[in-house]
Amino acid sequence: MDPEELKAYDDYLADHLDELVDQYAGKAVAIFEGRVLTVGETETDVYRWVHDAGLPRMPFVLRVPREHDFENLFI
Amino acid sequence: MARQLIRYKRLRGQLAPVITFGIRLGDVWQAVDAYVDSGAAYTVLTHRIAEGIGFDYKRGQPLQLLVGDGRSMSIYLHRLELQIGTIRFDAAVGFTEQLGLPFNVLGRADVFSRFTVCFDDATHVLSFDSRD
Repeated sequence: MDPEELKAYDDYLADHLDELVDQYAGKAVAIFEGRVLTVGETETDVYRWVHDAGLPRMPFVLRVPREHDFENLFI
Repeated sequence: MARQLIRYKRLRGQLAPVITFGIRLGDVWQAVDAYVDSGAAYTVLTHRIAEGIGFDYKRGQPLQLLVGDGRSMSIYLHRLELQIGTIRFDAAVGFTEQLGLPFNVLGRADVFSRFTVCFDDATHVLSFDSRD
């Protein structure tokens, strides 16, 4: 995939993770061209929406962490 | 030697070495986020990614992995093309229905042999130096 697109997704995550958690903690989201396109309970819901939407490229689909998911990680 | 620099991700002031990389499933390239874990033997992703794209992950090699709490986790192991920054390479990747973590995991197999990986906790940057 386009390395610039990959970097843009990574930068989006680095810059907006707290905002994503504020709004969508524990949910799955699709991100495309710098914005959240859709939200679902699971990635399955999001992919279903993506397939129906007929986007030119696959968006970045991720499960948004919950508030305390970075704390006390033993990995 | 190409170097990819990737920022740690910050959640409520806590930093974690999470990266976004590409994976090719059939004809589809998908961006995926994962916690980089030098203690994990394999890259393991939730089965929901494969399922959502229509990739038959159950055709992979079934394998039981021992996880940190002593339990085992069933994965289906594949060889798939990954992309970190500008570098594409083949790697062993497992899909599981039993991911007990809130993240996918980028583990060592074929990744840490392809790159020298540095976790710089002082600057909060991961570096992936390609061995080519």
